[in-house]
Amino acid sequence: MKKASIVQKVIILAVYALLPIIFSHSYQLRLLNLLIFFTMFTLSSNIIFGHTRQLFLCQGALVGIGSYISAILPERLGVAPWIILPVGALTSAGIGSLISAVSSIRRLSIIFMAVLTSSFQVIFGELILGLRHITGADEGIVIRSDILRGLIGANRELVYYYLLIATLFATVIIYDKIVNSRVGVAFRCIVEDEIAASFIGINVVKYKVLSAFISSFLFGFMGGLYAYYNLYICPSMFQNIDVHILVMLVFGGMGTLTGPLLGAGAFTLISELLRPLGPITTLIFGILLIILFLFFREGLVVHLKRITGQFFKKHKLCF
Amino acid sequence: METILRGESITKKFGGFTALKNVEFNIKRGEILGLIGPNGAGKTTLFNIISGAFPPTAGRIFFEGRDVTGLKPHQICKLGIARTFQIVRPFNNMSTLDNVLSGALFGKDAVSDLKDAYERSLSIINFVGLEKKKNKLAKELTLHERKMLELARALATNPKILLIDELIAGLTPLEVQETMRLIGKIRDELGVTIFWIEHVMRAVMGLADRIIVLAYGEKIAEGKPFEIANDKRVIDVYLGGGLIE
Repeated sequence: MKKASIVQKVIILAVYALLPIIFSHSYQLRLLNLLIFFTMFTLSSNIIFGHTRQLFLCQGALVGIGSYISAILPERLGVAPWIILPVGALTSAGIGSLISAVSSIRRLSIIFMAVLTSSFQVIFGELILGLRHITGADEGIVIRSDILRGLIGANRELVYYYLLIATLFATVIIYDKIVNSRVGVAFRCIVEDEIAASFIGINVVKYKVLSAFISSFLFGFMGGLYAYYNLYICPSMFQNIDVHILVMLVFGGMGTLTGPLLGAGAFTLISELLRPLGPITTLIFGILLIILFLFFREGLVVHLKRITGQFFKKHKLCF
Repeated sequence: METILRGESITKKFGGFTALKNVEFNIKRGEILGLIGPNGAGKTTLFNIISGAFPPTAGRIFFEGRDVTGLKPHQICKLGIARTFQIVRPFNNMSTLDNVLSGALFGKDAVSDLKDAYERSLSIINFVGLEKKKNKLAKELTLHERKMLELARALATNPKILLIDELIAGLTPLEVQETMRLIGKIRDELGVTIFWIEHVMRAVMGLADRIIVLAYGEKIAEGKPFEIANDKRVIDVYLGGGLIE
């Protein structure tokens, strides 16, 4: 890692770690925790869509699989939640990889991939409703196995917050390693030109599936963590979150690290402010996503860099 | 000399259209084999089959004695067959250096260490004469430079044989001279065998050891440049009487 990149990460970590000092009210802490969850979802979406252009419109289902497995299995099997968490994550990863493998082997265009994955999202929703005796259908599930049972006396929101930023930072470091490695080069080539990439020896299917695996694993893992954090899950939580995640990703900047952090930060707050509007929020996000795709595809980070770059250029010209 | 690449009655049909019909070829190690023919003769189709873009309808491809028919492009590349494209397709938003680096990281004998790959890439960039443009984005280069970049990226995969699909068309006379010298250097200094599609007759005639002529999907002639230049069928079908463009 370069020095600048380490400094950047230390600053980001410090900002996150110090936020609870300013926002110490439990409602504010809850909002911060949601922010980290959405930051993680956006980072994960960045790996699959930002870095390999696979449009997964079933991110809600992948999160949901992790959530439901983590909610249901510990009590049914009498196993510790810590053991089930990776099981849920691996299940999501397996399904995400399968979807990616099918789409890349059949060379589905992005449109057909959208159709395939949103169908999967619908299937997931129906499955949850259908398996009423296990999933509680619309009524949802109350979760009794909290991973932080021992710490129940402490400030639960705060303990979760630090657990979440630890997870976030582990993810950021791993992400950074991947993007700056040989795998990251393969991702870039695939985004640029899949066909040319295959003719210089890049196994396009392998790298697309790898990216789907990593990102679906994260979705499932965060889904499980969300179930334990929220202690309650229901199907509506996993609907329409794709739109929110994609808005955060595209607004912030696909294929960048700071983009998802900024995008998720901004839009978690905006969606909280819009909450009194109810379901209209999703409508607003939907329209926003269309606008972003049409006019702001490069994202905030790239634009910011360009503006500051021009500023420095001007500066040089003046003096 | 031993045969490095051999095609055995290659046939390719697209629906009812036969793009290639029982085409045979073999290239010896260290050779420059030219492939010429009028538009639509099936030259690029043949390259697509060799490099794994799609399988032939019938026939086999043997590379160093091994049947490679139907392998995927990345597998073919890893065995040591690299190609360039008639319509260039470098990675436009990546720098020249990163373009070449990607070839070094994934081709045959792929270097997994980024630093080693950078070194190999730099030496190849020097080899093709793009050292001044190494930090420029591919989309900022001229057509000639992008063609050189594509050649460099293909060479970075460390191929045993290079399939060149029209490198010279559209270049200035000076650039043609340079490019011809470069193709010669690729064979002589890097020891890479070359299979070369080109429309500019003067270039092919001057550089190729042997030439294959395709017309309407069939091989109509094969031989040394002077034999091809004097072949009645070739003159009728392709050259239309005049030899030099």
